[in-house]
Amino acid sequence: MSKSNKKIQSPQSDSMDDTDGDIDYGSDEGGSDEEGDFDEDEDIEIEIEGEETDGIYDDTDLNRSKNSDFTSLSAEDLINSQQEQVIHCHEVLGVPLGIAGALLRAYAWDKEKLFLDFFDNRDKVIKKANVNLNDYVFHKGDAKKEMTCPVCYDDYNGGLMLSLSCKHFLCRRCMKDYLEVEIKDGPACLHAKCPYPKCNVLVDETLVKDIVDKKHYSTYSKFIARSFVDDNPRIKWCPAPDCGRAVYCPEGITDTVTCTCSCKFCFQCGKESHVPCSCSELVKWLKKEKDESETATWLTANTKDCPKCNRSIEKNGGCNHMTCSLCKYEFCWVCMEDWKDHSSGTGGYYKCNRYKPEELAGRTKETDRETARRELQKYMHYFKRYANHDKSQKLEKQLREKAQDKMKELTQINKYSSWVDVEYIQKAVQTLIDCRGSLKYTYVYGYYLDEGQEKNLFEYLQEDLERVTERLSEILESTPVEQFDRDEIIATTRSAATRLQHLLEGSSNGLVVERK
Amino acid sequence: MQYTKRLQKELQKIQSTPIEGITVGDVSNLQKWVVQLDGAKGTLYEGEHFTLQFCFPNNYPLESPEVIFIGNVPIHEHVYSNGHICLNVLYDGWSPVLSVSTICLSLQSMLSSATQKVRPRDNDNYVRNCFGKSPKQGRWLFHDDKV
Ligand SMILES: [Zn+2]
Ligand SMILES: [Zn+2]
Ligand SMILES: [Zn+2]
Ligand SMILES: [Zn+2]
Ligand SMILES: [Zn+2]
Ligand SMILES: [Zn+2]
Repeated sequence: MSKSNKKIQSPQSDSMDDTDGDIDYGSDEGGSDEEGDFDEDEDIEIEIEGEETDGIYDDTDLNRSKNSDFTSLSAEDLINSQQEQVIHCHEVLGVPLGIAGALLRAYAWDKEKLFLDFFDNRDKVIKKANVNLNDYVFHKGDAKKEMTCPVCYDDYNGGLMLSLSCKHFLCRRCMKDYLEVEIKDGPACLHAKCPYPKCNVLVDETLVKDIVDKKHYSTYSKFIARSFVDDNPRIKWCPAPDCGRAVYCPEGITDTVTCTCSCKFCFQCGKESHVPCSCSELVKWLKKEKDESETATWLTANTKDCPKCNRSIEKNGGCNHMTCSLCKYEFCWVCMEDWKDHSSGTGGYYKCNRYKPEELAGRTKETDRETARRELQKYMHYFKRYANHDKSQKLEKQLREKAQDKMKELTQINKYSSWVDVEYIQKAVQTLIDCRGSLKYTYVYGYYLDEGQEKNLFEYLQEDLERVTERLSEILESTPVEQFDRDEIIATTRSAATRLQHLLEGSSNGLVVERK
Repeated sequence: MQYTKRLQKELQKIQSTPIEGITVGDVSNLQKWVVQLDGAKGTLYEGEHFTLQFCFPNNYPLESPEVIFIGNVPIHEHVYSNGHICLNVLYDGWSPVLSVSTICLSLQSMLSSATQKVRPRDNDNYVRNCFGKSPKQGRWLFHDDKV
């Protein structure tokens, strides 16, 4: 079965839309500055992208870790950047453009290595890429002779027949049809060869462009841009759905990167950022999650009963501090215990984040079944909290969109307040999302962390961050925007950001434990 | 069908210049041919007659035809008991320059090179799993792509 016309949007996007070059780069236009009178119901989009966004986050230390050298590339940037590489290679090596592209693809876009090898042993490189430097155009047959096309079996004047350097002739229509079918079949068309069985002569880009129609060539170009990312170890697709951008990272930098769309992801495994846990721990964890999926289903239900009056309560916000609408009982959604025990006011003696193994009731030996049960209990403790933060983060991402409206609203209520006066809201929401993201993975990290002093310290930082995060979530979700206490939100945001930084630095610098 | 003329010409050619051991049978439907393949002399299949069914997709020869043995299926390590054939040129190795006669010749040489009459090792499993499917839907791991 052939998958055709894949857009280079993102590797997992299955969009079949093939409008020429109509790739949505996430428009930069329309950042409406005017504060005119508008309908309140109207959806007003305030777009803050590029430099403006950078400005807003500039003072957040989180976004300025040691890896500020990466570049976010839009679909258009990718095509341009790929073409620049081809042109550079064409100029340095003195080979035709189509050949330059084929060479770069054969070298997974490692230009330096290609140059070294080329100047060292040019013939070997050419052979490796299946190209022919002296013969890279379509050949025409002898115009004085009749020839039969081996595909359609029609007779043509030789002048109408085409071949590659191998002189395997086809009529123009069959050559076109053949290449278009190859393109429809998918990215393997980048390695399309002469249609004769066992002939290895490559059809390079120039030839493809010369013969297929515009629509197919555009698909082909998108495959090239995709290969530019897929085969290139220094560029990775942003994993956010519908983002379509890719991020370039210079050699040596392989931790968390941030895409222009604000998605943070791990440059090593390409998944959403999972600090403080390592890529291999994450893989193990995700496998376990799959194996335990049945137990997980009821653990992550959206509806639970109030521990006091048993009224069914649905969770529709990210905050885990729940108040029953019937009996007003305040409890923690994660452990279902009284919220009072969670607040800093009481000293927070109840450690919701910590897993306390059951006491072994005086016995020293436990049966296999008991061990298995204990193991499952431990896993459930961590999984429940992991899943909860994940769910909260999803809801808080929706909050990010609402925050845009709220900010607009605020500048409306007070004619004297400007954008700068309200951008603290956006920063607060982004910090909240970042904290959630990391809290989620602290439970993976914690699950694999051995008991001991380090773990205690880690759980202390985790608990601390968790408390401030819940506080921030609560303020942002439960207070009407016109009652926002700017100073309190700014202070809470700072406090959350600092705690997150401490936790991440602590776990990565080995303050907690020596990681392998 | 885009390439009707090619199929007609292919049929004409195979009928006017017959190849030994290959006889075109029922072609009342141009898109579905029945071809008889005879076991070559001096091979394990000497004296046996097999029937091949060719189904041509609309964009044949850009896409390969579906070829299976029907009726008496030869016992061969690359032929499943349901008639499906494990031969590279019928799937990934297809080229629009190939034709019914070149496929028949490949199959003849595949049969001729056999040194023992055995079914593929994974026969039962394969036949159970692909019941009712076209061999072109499968993902083939070629036992031997030398033929
Ligand atoms: Zn032709
Ligand atoms: Zn050739
Ligand atoms: Zn992105
Ligand atoms: Zn990773
Ligand atoms: Zn209640
Ligand atoms: Zn709790």
